[in-house]
Amino acid sequence: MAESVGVVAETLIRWGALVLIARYVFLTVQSLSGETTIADIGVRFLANVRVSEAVAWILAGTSTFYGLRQRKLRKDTIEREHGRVQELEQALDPGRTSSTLTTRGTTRPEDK
Amino acid sequence: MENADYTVALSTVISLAGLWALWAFLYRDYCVDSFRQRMFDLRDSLFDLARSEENDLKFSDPAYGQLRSTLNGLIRFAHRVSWIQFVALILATKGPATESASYERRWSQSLKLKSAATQEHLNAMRSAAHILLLRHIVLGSPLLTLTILPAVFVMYWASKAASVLNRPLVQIDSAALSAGSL
Repeated sequence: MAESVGVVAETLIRWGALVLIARYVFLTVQSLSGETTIADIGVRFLANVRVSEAVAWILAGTSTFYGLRQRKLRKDTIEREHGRVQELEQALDPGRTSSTLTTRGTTRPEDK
Repeated sequence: MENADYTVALSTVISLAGLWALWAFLYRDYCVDSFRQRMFDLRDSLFDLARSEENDLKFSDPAYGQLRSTLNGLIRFAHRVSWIQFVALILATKGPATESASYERRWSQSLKLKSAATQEHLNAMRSAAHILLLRHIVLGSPLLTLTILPAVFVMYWASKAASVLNRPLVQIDSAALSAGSL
């Protein structure tokens, strides 16, 4: 029961925030209705982007990309080492129990 | 709306959407992975404790099995732990604590046959797991992180300051006692 309540509350918070952001997009676009076209929007947006903002966007994008690549590298390492660790520990402890995560250290689909 | 206002509004909304994606997916996944990594470190310490011949803990001991299974469960379902569920659990378990009492009873019985040093080691590991769990709950929520972490930071440095100030204060007390007894 507690888990169900938690899952529902978390889902509401997570996707409710996205709904709120979508509303702001709608309100922004609505204020332009009847005054401009999609082509105008694109041109105006690009014409008003400052160098500092562009650099900030590039930094944010490349940092996110770097983090995702590092995460992939970590999971590849886990997958490579997983079997060896399991084998060596089972040699010492034949009754070794496992957390049952995937070989890449992620949550099993059936546990989500 | 002016061109500049429009650009700022659109840019802000796109940034908000990016921040949302970062929080909803990447940050949450990172918190779970970080918690699991620390729990694996703790589980490895437990394994090394049982492997070592310097204490009486064996792989076949119920205490080892219970603690390892507990750690495995926390690792496996780390993605389901959150402050909302924690609060819901607190509210849901307000009655007689039968399940937790059963776990404690089983833990006490498992520890009984072990030496005092081994009991201390295992209890310390269980406490470490609880601290990691609470850390995971707090850091998994930006709201709790912003409210609880500053308070923890202040309390930590206050206790440090108290231990540093204790000795000179005791000396002052001693001198005051001598002066007051004359």
